[in-house]
Amino acid sequence: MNTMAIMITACAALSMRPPDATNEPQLARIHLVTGGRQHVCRVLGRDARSVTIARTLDGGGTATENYLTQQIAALVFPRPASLAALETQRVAGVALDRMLSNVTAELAAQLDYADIRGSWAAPLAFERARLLERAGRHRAALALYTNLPGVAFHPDLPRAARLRTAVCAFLLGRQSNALVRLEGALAEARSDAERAEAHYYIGCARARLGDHTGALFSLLRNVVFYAAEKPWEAESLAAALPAYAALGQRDAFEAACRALLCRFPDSPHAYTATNALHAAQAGSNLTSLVSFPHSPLEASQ
Amino acid sequence: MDAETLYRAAFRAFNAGEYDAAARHFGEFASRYAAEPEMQQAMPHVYYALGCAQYNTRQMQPAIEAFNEHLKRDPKSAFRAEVMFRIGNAQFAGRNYADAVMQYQQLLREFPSAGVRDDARFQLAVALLLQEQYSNAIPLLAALSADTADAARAGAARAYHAQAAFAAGRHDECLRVLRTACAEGMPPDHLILLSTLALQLGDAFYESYELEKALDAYRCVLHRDELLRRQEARLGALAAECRRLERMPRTDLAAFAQLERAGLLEAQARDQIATLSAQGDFDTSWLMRLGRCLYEMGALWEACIAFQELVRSHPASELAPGAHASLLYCLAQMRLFDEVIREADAFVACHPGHPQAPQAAFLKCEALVNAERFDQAEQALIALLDSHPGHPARDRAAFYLHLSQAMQEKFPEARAGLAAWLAEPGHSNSAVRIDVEYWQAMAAVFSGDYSNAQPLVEAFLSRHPDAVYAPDMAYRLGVVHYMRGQYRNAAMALVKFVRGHPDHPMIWEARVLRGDALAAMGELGIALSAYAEAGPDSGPYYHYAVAQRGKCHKALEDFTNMVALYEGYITNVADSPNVVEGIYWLGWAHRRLGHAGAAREAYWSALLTYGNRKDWQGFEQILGDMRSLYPGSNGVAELAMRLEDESDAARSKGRLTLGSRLDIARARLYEKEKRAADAREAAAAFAARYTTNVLGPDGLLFLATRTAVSNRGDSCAAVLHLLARAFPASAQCAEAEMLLARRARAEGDLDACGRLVASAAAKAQEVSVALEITMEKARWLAASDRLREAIAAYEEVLANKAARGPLWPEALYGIAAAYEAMRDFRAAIPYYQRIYVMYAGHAQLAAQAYYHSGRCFERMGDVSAAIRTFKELAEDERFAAAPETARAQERLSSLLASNTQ
Repeated sequence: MNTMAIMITACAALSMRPPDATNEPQLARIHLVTGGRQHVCRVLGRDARSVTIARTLDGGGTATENYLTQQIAALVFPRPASLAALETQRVAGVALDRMLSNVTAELAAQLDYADIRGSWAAPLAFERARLLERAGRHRAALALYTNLPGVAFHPDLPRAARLRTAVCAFLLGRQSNALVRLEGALAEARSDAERAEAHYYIGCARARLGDHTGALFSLLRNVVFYAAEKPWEAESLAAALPAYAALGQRDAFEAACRALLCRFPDSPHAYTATNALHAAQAGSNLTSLVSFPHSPLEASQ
Repeated sequence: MDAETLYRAAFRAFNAGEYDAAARHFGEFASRYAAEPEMQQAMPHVYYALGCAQYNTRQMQPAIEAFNEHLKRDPKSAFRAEVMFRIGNAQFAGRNYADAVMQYQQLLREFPSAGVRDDARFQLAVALLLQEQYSNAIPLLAALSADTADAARAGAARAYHAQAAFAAGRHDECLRVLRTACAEGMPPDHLILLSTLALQLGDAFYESYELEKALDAYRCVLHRDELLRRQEARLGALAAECRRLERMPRTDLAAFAQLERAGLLEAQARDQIATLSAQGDFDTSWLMRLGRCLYEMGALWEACIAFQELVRSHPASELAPGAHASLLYCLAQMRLFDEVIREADAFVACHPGHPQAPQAAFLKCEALVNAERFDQAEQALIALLDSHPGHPARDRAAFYLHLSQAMQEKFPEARAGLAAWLAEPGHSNSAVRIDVEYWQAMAAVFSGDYSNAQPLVEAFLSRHPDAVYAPDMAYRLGVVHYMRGQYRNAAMALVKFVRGHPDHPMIWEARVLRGDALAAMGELGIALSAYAEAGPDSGPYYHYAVAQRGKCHKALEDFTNMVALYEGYITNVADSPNVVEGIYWLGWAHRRLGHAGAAREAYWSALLTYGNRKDWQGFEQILGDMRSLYPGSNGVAELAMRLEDESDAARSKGRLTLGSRLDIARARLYEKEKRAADAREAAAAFAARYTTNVLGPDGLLFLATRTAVSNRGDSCAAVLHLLARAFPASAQCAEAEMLLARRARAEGDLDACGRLVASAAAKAQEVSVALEITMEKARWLAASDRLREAIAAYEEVLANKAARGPLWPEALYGIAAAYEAMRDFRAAIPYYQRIYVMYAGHAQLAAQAYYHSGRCFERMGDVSAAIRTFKELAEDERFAAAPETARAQERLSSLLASNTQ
């Protein structure tokens, strides 16, 4: 028996039950970490007590090794460093490029293990797609969201990905299709943060389809109910301005401008709101003052 | 056990985390040896350990006593600060908050820099809070909430700070703390506390009419589902943390303390989840208050959202009907009529017996009226008045009903209803009485009953000179006078209106009507001034005013000013279809002045200026007028030459559309002058010179109908399709579609023929073309075996005097053929006879009619009449060449042969 300290990353099926008695995927490979190095080993066979693997040696050739399952110290993949970074959505520029590069590299390393429980391939792919969104590469992000590797081990990710695909579809200009997807994602939303984002994009999609009343009823939910979910209240107030203008709601338009100035004086929308308010009070045509934002990124830039 | 053994056993138990056993052992040791002189040095340690063991097993009062004994025996103990802290905690746990406060304060005085200082300050603040000493607690909590070293403690301090401020009545401060908590992230262990506090704070501000602050507070509330979700997540995290800490060695006192804290928080989270789960109405109360606050602030959109959420998410709540009614009022104020109608229907369906149901039904009716869905409004109002005879807004509902009838032009019902409304004693002080009076007068005006309208209008103006309707009524008075032929009164009323209300929407109509009144009175000079007030900025009224001014000048025989009038008009309306009429009258005026040359040049100028625009429709009309300026054969030759020269010039400058039109004009001139060879040559040259892409609709129609298009590979049908596609609004489009329909019928495609006929009929602009289309429709119906409809269509042509010429005999023939096809020979014969008696000049048609009438007689068995008819045909030299004559002779021979047998 190999008594080296090992960290085997594999499915829990390796523990005590014979393979046939489980519903878990049959393992073909395990990830062996020895001496600080990683090895991907082929599983040759196993029973209730042990597992036999084939490990490729450094100098060539293959070693057949047998391990007692009781000797397994832990069955974990180490959490990738990039997933520990918080607030990835707030980075931009060089920092964004660097983070994207890191995540891409970690994902590439994890893709070999996407079929193994404990693998971080799916969360890394999701994170990469989020960063691609942030970089404005929505088509690439959408393709990744719809094809996340190893998603079977992360049951909530497909649901979260559906919201992201809906948002990407909207930002890529597929308005009617995006609206259906966004409404579906809203029905599945589990947190106020998700609801707020869905309501924002639903509002924008409705506005682009000419349903300004419906747009306002969606956008203003973020002002009434989800004020704590940044940045959606500010974005929704800003997106509501063209809808108010299209409906000729001058009083509501001016109230929204004042709310932006009062609550978000440091946001990019405050500048737009200031000018719009002055012009509106001077009697200018409302629809000439504001245009629909394409995305929060565009408005922020 | 002896002392040493007992002592060692106690410490062993303590070190192993067996605090119960340790407490027993230390307690026994203390009770045995506390007074022993040789043990005095050890006793402080014993009492300290005893106190700790008892504290760890939650025996708080004994722990306090043990710790106090420790301090008494060793006042300068190294553990003094910790012991004082533990005493305070034990007193706090035993709810002796006053003692705990004193203890903590003493600790902080003695050890201002102790490691437990911040924890002690926190505990002190909470104890003060529980003692309702808010003014003392608040500064401590404020300071602790700013401490970034311990986020959990800072969050808890912030939550208690808000609670203390609210309890102390310092609502502004409470709001500020809540806002900070929302902005920086709500502390996860105090979400429910803060949400509940926010709700209470909002209510407090609302009661004191500080609506902005109330709204800010309400916006800090999280809805129940989100609170439960976050609390469940927090509970899970705490439970996992507890499990992790339980696996740590019991001797790890830091882990032990964390476990204790986590356990307390876990228990708190469970309690809060249980409490909130039992509060089924948490959201409904909040939503209703939020909606009410937003409504009173005038934020109607946001108020709608709050009320909508309550109605949609909690339909069974006792607050739902009230919220639904509030939603209706908001939508009605926002003039979102479709939404009002939808929500009113939903309200009445869900709460039919609710006291607000009649009002909801009324709001729906009002929305239907405002949305101008008058037919639906009428039905809904009738239903409302029937089902709620005592409705508080019955007077308004009745008014709306009759208004809806008036707007559907149901004037008799509307007028009778409005009169009955005014006669009702209960309506004498109604708020809508003035509206009813106005609409009563307007209904009379719109129905054309001017004699009865006039007293109503005058009475309204007399009673309500300052009403918002008064200006409109002043205008209507002028209209009524005019329509009754009271032109002087009309002019006076209208000039008064025009001077008094220069910005009224009806101002232009009033100006031209005043001109009409003055012209009707014969005051043409003043009428000209009145018409002149409607300048180019008056929109459609300008054209009418110019036409009227032209008539005035014509009547005054002031052709010089007429020329000036139309020269200015043409300049102002260069892009309008009305320019053609202006050009016509300009030329006419020149001619009346004897300036034929100027007239010609005016026409030529228009043709050359506008003629190259493919969509311009005035070419043929102007050219037709211009022909009269080239009289006699010399004139025709001169015109033809000018057409040719101008065409050459146009083509040389690339103005091919103009060139094509000039060539068409020349070809038609030759046709009219019966110069067939010249006409054919012109048509052939046209086909060779111009491709379809440069031709207007007139050119395309000419190409399709006159030229041998097959020479250039174009088909007639393709050209006609191009015309219909490219110029659907042109006058030629209908004729093109009619020709295509004819072609389709000839090819047997009756579906296409029907579609094209219908399309052409909808687009026909000229009577002659419309009649041709009707004929084609009749032929299509006959070909489709819809013979009775075909007969009706032919009769439509016969009824139109403009159809004189070849269409009438063709229509007669169509009717006869239809009857014959239906084997109604007796009905067919008179139509055939009419043709060959009245329209013998149409030889081919007359011959056919003769033959078919003979066949009808034959098939009716009237052989002698058949023989007579065939004989007449055969003997009439006019029809000698017709094929029907030969066939008639054959039938005659056959009939004669069978007759002799």
